[in-house]
Amino acid sequence: MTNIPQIVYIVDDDEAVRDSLELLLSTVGLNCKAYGSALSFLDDYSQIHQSEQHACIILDIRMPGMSGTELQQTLIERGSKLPIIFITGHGDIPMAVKAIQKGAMDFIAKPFHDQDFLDRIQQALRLHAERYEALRETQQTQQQLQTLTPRESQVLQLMLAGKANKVIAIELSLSQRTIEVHRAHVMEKMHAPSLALLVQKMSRLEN
Amino acid sequence: MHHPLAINSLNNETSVPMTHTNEQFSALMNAAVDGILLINNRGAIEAVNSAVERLFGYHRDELLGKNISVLMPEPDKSAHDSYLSNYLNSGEAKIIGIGREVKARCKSGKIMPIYLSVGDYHDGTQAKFVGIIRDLSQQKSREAKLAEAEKEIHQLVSRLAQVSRVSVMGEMAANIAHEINQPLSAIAIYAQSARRLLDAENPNLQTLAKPLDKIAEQALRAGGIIKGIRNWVREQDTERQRCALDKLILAVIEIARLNNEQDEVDIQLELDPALPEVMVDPIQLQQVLFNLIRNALDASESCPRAECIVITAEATSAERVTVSVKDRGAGIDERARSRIFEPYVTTKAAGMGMGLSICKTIVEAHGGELSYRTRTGGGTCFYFTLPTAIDTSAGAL
Repeated sequence: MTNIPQIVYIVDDDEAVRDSLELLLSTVGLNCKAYGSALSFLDDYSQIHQSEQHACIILDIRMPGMSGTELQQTLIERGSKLPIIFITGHGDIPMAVKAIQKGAMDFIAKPFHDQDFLDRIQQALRLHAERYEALRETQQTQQQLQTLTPRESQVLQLMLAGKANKVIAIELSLSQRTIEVHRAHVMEKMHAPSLALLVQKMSRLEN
Repeated sequence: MHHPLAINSLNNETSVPMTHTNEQFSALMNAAVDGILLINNRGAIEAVNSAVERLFGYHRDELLGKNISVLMPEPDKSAHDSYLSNYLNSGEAKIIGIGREVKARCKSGKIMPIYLSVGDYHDGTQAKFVGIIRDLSQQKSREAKLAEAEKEIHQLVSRLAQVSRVSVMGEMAANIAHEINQPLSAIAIYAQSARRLLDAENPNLQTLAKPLDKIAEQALRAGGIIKGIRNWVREQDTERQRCALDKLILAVIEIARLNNEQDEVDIQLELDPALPEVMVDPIQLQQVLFNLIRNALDASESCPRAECIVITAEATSAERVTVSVKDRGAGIDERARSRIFEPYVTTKAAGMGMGLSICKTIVEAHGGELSYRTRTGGGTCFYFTLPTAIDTSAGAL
């Protein structure tokens, strides 16, 4: 998790605000990339979406052309998991409230305190890392499930239902010894050191 | 037998069987919704139909033989005999064949607007006249209602236009706030970054050059925006005209009252009855007044001793008029006092700090001055002077 690079995307139409934010982030060693419009960010989005990195977006709420809230909507429609921190000006508070209701992580009114701002970015990056890890884990679990034979899948379902080997053997008309072998294969293929962790893994998949 | 006189007159002229004609005549007369009457050359009524009875409230027996002037209000009542003789002598028609709107008088004394058409005929011995009377009361009252409604709409529209003119300023202030906030934010971030660079373990002072240059650049950008606003206010299409100051003040108070939701603070006026006219752009001046009144209302809002706002206007010399807006509100925060007319200085929680700065620019562009003093007993008095119209025109010559 810690080996994955971090990046902060900045989308703001004001050149000076963009440039100063880049400088601020560089002073704390944060990697960032700035865009002058919502559309130029969207141009890069498919690449951003595929890249393996923990990221967040600093998004100006009021921009000419596509506004910050419109970009948020587009990203939601595209299934983006990137946390968004809106930067708002005077009088944009009602807009910011709507953005939060739609799932934006936070908003910060400019001008702002650098430490507040950086704290929120760290929080956003952590949130993305969690979302990212959760997604990767479910993908892994799904891949592991694919490797099970039909019989092993049957055994897994009955294990998840909390049934003992003896009961499973009777239900499947197999010997208890055979079930024990299947069970060992399931645990191995699913990379589960214990039944408790296997149940946890599978329940995450359902979520 | 209902129309003996009319029947007689027809009898003399024709040999057609009378009974039949009389019935037709009678039916014709009484079917008409309009009033119809016949008079002789002296104005005596010879026949009326039932519509006349209904319209005027007389029974026909009360009218037959009477002079037609009983159905007229003054001045036609007294003058009608002379109208008749003029026509008979000169043959010059004032109404015959033309028709016109006149007033008629009912038995009750009620005056009724009517449309009167008159025709004349000769019965062999003398000239006679037929009058057709259409009641215009309902039409008139509809027209009056319509005119009234139209007038109300006009008033409403012009009031709205005034309100929106004043509120344009608020909108402008919001846009300006956004414009200024950009360089301000950039400056804050550059400065904070510079601080961080300086706090690093082995700070390279050279790295501070860029943020410092940028700070200066952005400060100049903010200054440029403010300059632009000041120029905009100055160059705005100003339409100076001679204005009665009291009328301007009254109009603004109305707008300010519309915007004053609590309505707990009273606005009092003390206007010099001999107020000279001023040469101003009325909209700009109203913006100044509106801002000062608004500020006074805001200052009074949270203040228990605030009784009312007093607006005075007086000629302080032959060339100068002074207008002041006094409140008993919270007063101006001591720290803000020296800078209250500077842009972005505000004592309001949600204020932009643009109002007084723009007001000052407007007043000065008009050759006046805007200032304030703290009132003994609490509150603030904002006042501005303006040159009188005579002074301005003399200067132009």
